[in-house]
Amino acid sequence: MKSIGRREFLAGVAGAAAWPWFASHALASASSASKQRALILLWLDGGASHLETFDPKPFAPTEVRGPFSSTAGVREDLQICERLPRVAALLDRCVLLRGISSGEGNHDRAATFLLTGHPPSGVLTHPGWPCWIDPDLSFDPEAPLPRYIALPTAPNASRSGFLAAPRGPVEMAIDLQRACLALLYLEARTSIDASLDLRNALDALDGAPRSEAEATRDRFRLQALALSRSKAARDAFDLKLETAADRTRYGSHFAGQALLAARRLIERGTRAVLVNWTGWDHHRDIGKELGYGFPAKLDALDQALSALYLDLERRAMLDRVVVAVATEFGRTPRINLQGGRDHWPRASSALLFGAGLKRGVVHGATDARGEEPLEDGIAPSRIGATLLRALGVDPTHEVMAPSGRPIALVAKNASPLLDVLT
Amino acid sequence: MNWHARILGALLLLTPLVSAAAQVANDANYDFAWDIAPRLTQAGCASAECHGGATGRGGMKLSLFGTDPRADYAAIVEDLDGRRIDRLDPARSLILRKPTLDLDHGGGLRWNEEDHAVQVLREWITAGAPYRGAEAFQPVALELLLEQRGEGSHVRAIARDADGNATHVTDRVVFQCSDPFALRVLQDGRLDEQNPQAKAWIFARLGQLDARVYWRGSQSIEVERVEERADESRLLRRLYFDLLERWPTTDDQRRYFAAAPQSRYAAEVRRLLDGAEFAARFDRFLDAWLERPAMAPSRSEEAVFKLDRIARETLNRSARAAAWNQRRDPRDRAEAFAKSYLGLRLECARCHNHPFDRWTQDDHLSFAALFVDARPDGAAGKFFDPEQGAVIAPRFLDRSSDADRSWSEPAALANWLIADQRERFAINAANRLIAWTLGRGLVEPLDDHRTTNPPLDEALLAEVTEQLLASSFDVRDTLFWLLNTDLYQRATRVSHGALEESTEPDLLAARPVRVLDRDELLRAVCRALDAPDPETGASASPLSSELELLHGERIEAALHAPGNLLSVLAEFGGADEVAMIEELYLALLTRSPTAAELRVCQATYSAAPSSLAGLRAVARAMILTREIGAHR
Repeated sequence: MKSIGRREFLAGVAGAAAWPWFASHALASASSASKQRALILLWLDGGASHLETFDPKPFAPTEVRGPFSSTAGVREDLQICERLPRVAALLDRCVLLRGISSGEGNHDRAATFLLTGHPPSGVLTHPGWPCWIDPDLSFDPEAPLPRYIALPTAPNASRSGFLAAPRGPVEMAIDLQRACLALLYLEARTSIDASLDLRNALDALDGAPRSEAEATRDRFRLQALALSRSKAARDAFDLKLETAADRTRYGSHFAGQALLAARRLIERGTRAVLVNWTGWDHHRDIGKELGYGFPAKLDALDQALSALYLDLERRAMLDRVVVAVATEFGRTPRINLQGGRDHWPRASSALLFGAGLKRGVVHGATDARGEEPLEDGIAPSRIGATLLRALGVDPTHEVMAPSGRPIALVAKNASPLLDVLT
Repeated sequence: MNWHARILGALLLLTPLVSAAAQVANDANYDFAWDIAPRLTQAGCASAECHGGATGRGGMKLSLFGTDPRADYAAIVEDLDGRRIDRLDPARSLILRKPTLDLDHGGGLRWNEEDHAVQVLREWITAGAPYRGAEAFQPVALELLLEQRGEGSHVRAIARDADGNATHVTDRVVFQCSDPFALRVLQDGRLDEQNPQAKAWIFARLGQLDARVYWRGSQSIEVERVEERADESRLLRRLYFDLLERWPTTDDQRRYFAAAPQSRYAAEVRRLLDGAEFAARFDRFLDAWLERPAMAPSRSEEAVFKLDRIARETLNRSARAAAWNQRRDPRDRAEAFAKSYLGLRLECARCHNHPFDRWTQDDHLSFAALFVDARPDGAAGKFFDPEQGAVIAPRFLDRSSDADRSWSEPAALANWLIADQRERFAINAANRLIAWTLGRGLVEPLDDHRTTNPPLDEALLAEVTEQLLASSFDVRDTLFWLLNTDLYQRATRVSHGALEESTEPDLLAARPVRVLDRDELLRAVCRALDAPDPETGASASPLSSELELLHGERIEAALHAPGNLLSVLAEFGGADEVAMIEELYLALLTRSPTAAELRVCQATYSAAPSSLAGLRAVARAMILTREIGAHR
């Protein structure tokens, strides 16, 4: 019996056309990457309070106003929470959405509405709209990286839904414990070469895959190995290669390092990065939860987000990268007995900037207590429609769902917010 | 109007004068419901986008897909004082001039002058546009025949009346195919193969009659059925994983193989079903199926494995409100209930009726009305028609009226489920038990039982349902029977060379192979290695799962857990490396290594600096193999 070496094992699949990006050679050339628009979505998982972020009500009674005041600013409608001063200074270059409104007060259902662009359905699991960044599935065979990455996990609604798994996000954990801030899973702690050789020999003895399911898994196993062995890929994930100044600017916390990693990945050919920042479900002590800590959540958000803006600007990437901060719903305008706020899907907010988007625009407004949108609320599905449009993708484009029914990328009645698009 | 039609119209105008006798015969032969309405439906007139829409189109409203011929007759013959037909000059009837584009028609050209449908309509109007002629053909049954004619295949629809007389109705049935990616059925019955290797059902509907026929693509391959029983240790591994989510330990295996061969399998099934580990696994099955809240319900002892009582208790418990109150719209609740308990996708009827579906929009709305919250004073809440605004009277599916029932009275829902819907609930439950044990349901997706999605094997599903009903919904008894069938004990297909997607065997041809997800695999590995259970929960994409298996911490932790199987073997295994590797094989793969496997494992083991390091290298390789991740 001839045992199959690691290199031969890899060589055997180098021609697998369906999995082109795992070709482990050079990075995508800067020119091909720079033509395509890309997305960075910062998802505040749990339902960030609109009142403590982008829609403060400084003149409302204490139980509505909450623990923080708002930033002073020339334009009253551009005032946001006082704990976000660095973001506030950039608002004349961003889009603020206020009064995002739905009837879904359950985390999963609300996240589904916003992240798939379709109201939750029991019949069809829609893919997250970031999967559509490339609706025709035209992979760039030169790209060494997955086209859609989630850091460190992907909310269920952002996954591939009825599409094939390769079109969904690939999760990459960030290791903040190790000073290097490298991404997990790409290098072994100990040498596993001997085990890999033995594994290949045992698989060869097992024969061919016994089903399509096994054959599919084989392809993913090869991809994983190729990714972890590609120097280009490992460099893309290695934040140690960024300058110390950059890493400090973004901040030594999850949000900062994840957004820095997102920028790094986008530069190297990834088309969409979803940063899933969990822990925004503040049913109690919301002032303490957001305002204290090392660093406090709001301070981390302020530092990371403003650093990302300035970094993209400095690198002249704002004309091809679309950035969005969003969450599944807002929180109850009146502080509850535990000092927290509960779910409030009637009036959430979001911040957008970058390619295809106007600067210094506020779309929508809520009433004096932040309870209801003043005019028509923004349906959560319209966020996806707007961002897809900014990314140069037609949200009304139709694809065949497995039932043989044509389905628009986002719900048909979800029109893009044209007044925030250039 | 073109000159041709003018002359034809003039001729037809004369017809009643010259042949009164013929008209009587014609009159008797026509039937609106069978001859006329289906042709309008087939031409697309009664679709939701056109005249079948809720408010009709261009002033004319037909019932969606022609489900109400009486109303359609009124719309065509009686509305607008009968201007849509012209009995004196049939060719001038709006119903003919519009679809042939003789007059402007928003729906565009539906028929050409010379089309058979136009002739039929013209003759029907000439005959006085009767609703039902005295001697009209009255079909009671519809059949479909597949035929090979010339180059292509065709499907032919034949209707029969009570006396067995047959007539061709291919030109007026509506066709539908269960897999539109595999096959398109053209209106004249021609079959347009999209994927000649696939198989699919063809359905046809004529009025209230429907029929179906199974189509095999011209290049479809009949996969040879696997009949032989799986190797016994493979079977034991399968049984343990299905019932306990772990593999048999080496002790389990030794005990099993020491028992008498004739009866040991059945005895082991019974032993596992009676154990506490199975009860915990069954709880997870129910959680996934019935959307139970995380809090375990306090089920009384005798009800523990009886599905009807479990359903009743789950419905009666207030916990249900917590799970379902996340859905505010009563329609969402009704749909969630139908999906879990009945295996029905009621939501399809939310937007419009479907030609082959049993449930109409009215059924959907009145069923949803049962799920409205009670008012604070305890009175039943009201559900208003979202479009019309009228109060909808609550009504269970299949029942005429239940105005007194409501969501605030969950016992009524349970009674209806267990009594009225006993059969449907049992079929749904049987299909779920089949999917649990055989890896795939006879109806897939599991929550999509409907006419146009028939089970892979109706008789088999009926047999399992019968078992479930005969044991009064006892899950353990039904599983005991199912796990002792030849179907469960069959081998998977052994390697068959190059794999093509379309040759994937169905559930009946061979046992489907399932690939374990990352957490299932990690948990089973930890249990087999005597390491603590890993933290599980978050799902992951296939690629990140594979990356974690390669380099992740949880594998590392299992391999290095103090006191795990590897350290015990290294400490007490002495110098007998063959015995140690065999032990690892039994624990992780439930079998002994072949000579070739033993040889390559020994080589890796010997190259390591220590016995423990060698065992870890071998175990890690085994955890990364294809075999361990496949539930065969």
